[in-house]
Amino acid sequence: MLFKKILVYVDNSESAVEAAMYSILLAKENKTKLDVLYVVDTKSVSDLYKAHIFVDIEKVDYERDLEHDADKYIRHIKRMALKKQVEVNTHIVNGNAPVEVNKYIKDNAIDLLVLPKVSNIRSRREELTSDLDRILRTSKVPVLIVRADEEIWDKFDEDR
Amino acid sequence: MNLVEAIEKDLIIVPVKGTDKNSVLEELVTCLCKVKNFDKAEVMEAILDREKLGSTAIGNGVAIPHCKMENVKGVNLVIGVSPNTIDYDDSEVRLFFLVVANNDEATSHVQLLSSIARFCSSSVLRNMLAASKTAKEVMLTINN
Repeated sequence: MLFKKILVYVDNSESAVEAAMYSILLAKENKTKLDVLYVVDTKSVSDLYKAHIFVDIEKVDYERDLEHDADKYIRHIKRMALKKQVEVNTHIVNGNAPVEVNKYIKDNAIDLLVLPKVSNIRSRREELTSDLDRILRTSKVPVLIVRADEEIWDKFDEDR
Repeated sequence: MNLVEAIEKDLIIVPVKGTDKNSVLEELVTCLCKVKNFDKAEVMEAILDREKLGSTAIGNGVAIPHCKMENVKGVNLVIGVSPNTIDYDDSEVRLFFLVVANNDEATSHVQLLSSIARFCSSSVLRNMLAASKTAKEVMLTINN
């Protein structure tokens, strides 16, 4: 078995759901353990607070909303994994995504990282600050990028 | 969602015609509600309620009035460029980024506000945007 422990990083995008679906199928096929990590971007909220864009009450409010978003996505992924009888370890952590993903990989002996598709380059400036781009570039383990594709949905539905 | 993904040509006002904070906010909200078919009174109320908590002028000639609310879809951005400085809670503002998001879009909402803040941290980009004469020039500066 080439990979013993797979980690899929998910955010709030549809591509992340597709990456999770692909990872679930991969874990089932290879009888591999699957971890799912969602990073609540509390760093951005803190930065917005420091920049005086958010006031005190908003900081608390938005952090709670972000955690709610994370719970929603993780619950959805757990349901999908259950459907395929794949056991997943789900984790929600706060902070900066590239830092937390790399820390998780190191602490949990992950040997394959699965990521949602990286968006098309529309602005070089935005690419430089994209979390996904930074995770991809800084990962110490092999990375598999799942391209958004209807085939994933078909495969997930037919593979029972 | 980032600034590049959020920007829409029909939601850029150059030049802003308003001459004070409230008239500029109304102009931005009117533009948004006309294009997206939202209830103008509701959006205006949500924006003004947020302003009561504290000014959304962040310095360097930039204001980011924002709110989250029920009856709007997605995360929406209107950009306004004023030829003259507008007195905005004792700050002088020329660049306006109005962000109105649905309550359920917290992550995308925060991502967009962060992207705007990053963009506005560059004096070069702020100056280029302030010098824009058309919506197309604004699009070019942001998409570059």
